[in-house]
Amino acid sequence: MATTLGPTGFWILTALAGGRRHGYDILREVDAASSGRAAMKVTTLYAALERLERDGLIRADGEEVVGGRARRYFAIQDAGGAALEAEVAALEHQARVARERLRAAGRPAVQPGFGRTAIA
Amino acid sequence: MSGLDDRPFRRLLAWYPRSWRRDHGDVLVAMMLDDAERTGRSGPSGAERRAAIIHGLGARLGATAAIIAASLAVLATAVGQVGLLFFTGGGPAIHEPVLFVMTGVAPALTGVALVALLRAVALLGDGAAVTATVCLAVAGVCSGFGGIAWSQGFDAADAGLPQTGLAAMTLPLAGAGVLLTMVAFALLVAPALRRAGLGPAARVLAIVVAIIAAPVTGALVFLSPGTTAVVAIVVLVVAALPRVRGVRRAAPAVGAPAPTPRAPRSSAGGAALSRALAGIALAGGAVGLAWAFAGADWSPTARGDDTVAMREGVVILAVSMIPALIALGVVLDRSRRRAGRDVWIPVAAAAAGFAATATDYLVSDGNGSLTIAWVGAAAAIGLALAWWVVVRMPLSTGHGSATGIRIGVGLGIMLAYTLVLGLTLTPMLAFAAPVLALVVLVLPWRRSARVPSALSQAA
Repeated sequence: MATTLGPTGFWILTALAGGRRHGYDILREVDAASSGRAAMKVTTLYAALERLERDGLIRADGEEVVGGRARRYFAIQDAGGAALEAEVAALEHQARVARERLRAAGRPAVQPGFGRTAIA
Repeated sequence: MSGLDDRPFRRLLAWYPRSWRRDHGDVLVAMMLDDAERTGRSGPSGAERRAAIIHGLGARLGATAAIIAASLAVLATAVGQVGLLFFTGGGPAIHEPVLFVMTGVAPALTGVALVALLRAVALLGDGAAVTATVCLAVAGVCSGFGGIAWSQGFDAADAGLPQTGLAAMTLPLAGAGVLLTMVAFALLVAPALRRAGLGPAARVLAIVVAIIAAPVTGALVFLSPGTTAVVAIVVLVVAALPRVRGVRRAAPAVGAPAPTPRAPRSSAGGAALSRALAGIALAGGAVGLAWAFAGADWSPTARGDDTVAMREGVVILAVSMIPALIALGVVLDRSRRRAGRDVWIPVAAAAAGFAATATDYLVSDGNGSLTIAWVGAAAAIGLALAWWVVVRMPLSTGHGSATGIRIGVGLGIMLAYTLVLGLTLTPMLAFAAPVLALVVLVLPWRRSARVPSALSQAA
């Protein structure tokens, strides 16, 4: 069971899973949700958004100008939701296998949600 | 809104193509300004600049770049071929630039076209695409000068003189060219192998493939420069496919009216006509094949001569191509995915080309001398190919240079096909008559089933 989205795609889809967001809002949400570990540059985010849009996982969902600055909103597509669910299943599988191996080796099990080791 | 000066950020947009700037420029700059405000910067960071350069240059490597680079590669090979054929007595002043074009410029452009194609279909990331492009461009320069150096060294050895100057650089130049090609190949192959599920082994395997493929490519470039044109034409045709162009096509501007698809024709008469023509072409093609390979036994004019029977078979096959092409035109016109002229001009040109081939094989004695019909056939097929590719080029219709690019690329393709491949290939294409007829016999059902569903989705 292999992951396919990559960290950038995973975090962007995760940010959009809760609703449509504009580009910079996605950047902040990814930064916050990943505790800074998936922080990316604006151009990197934009390239990733283009790729996800091209793959049919997200779509542009309108634009507005706020304070003289153009904001383009993005929304997750059904295919994006399915891809994110598959990715979560793959990550859970990986985490479960690793946890079992650690337990079998007599090491303390890693619990989800505890700092940097929590995210595979 | 803060008083942050957006000009340092806007300057980064210069790395992006014009169409990308128009569609995304304001949004990207706004995001960079938001980020700069949050982190207390007044200009782009070094990392942001580097990322913009890579992303911007990468955005230039799409289907359009692939088509233009491949067209220029075909044109460069054609120019080189003309130089070799018609200016053999021109000395180094002609010979060396021709060598540089054929062993350096044309292969490098073909490589860049391939990179752009792979990026257009999302098989290659921006960083790898830009790095591979730079490697291939420098490899082309090394290879071009390597070709000249080899030629000078050859002349010096012939005259019993020592290898000095550029001649002494043959091996280092060739080595550098092959090494850079290796790097580029490894970058191109690795993502495809990763997608094939090879995981960490993909990188090692890509390096192995590159180590084998780069010297072979280098040898091919020197020994058979025409191969470059064949690869470039394949890239050109693939890059012009709607599916490939759609992958990288910029989103339409907000508020722009969506193009209205032509409703498919569903006349039973058209389907019957295409099937009848394809049937005639299939029967004619079968007779032509039998005549070409076994006609010596029964042809009253061949009288046991296999060569004469083969020529007569080619005449029958070339004539059979005409109804096959018209049948294909009827099918494509019924699907109404393209304007009628973009279907019928290439079909008419190709049909004229095969009529010229049939005439040439009927009246000439086949002694190898160029005839008007022979060259005319190659030029007509070149025109058909050029028209077919050019009208499918993903150029924005919003600016005037698009027409100029289409005309330039079209003339390049036509000239290149006529001079490089057409004279040899066109008579051989006639053997495809029964295959084309079979394809047409299958096509109408697929088309009529698919088009309405596509339209209903669009609605």
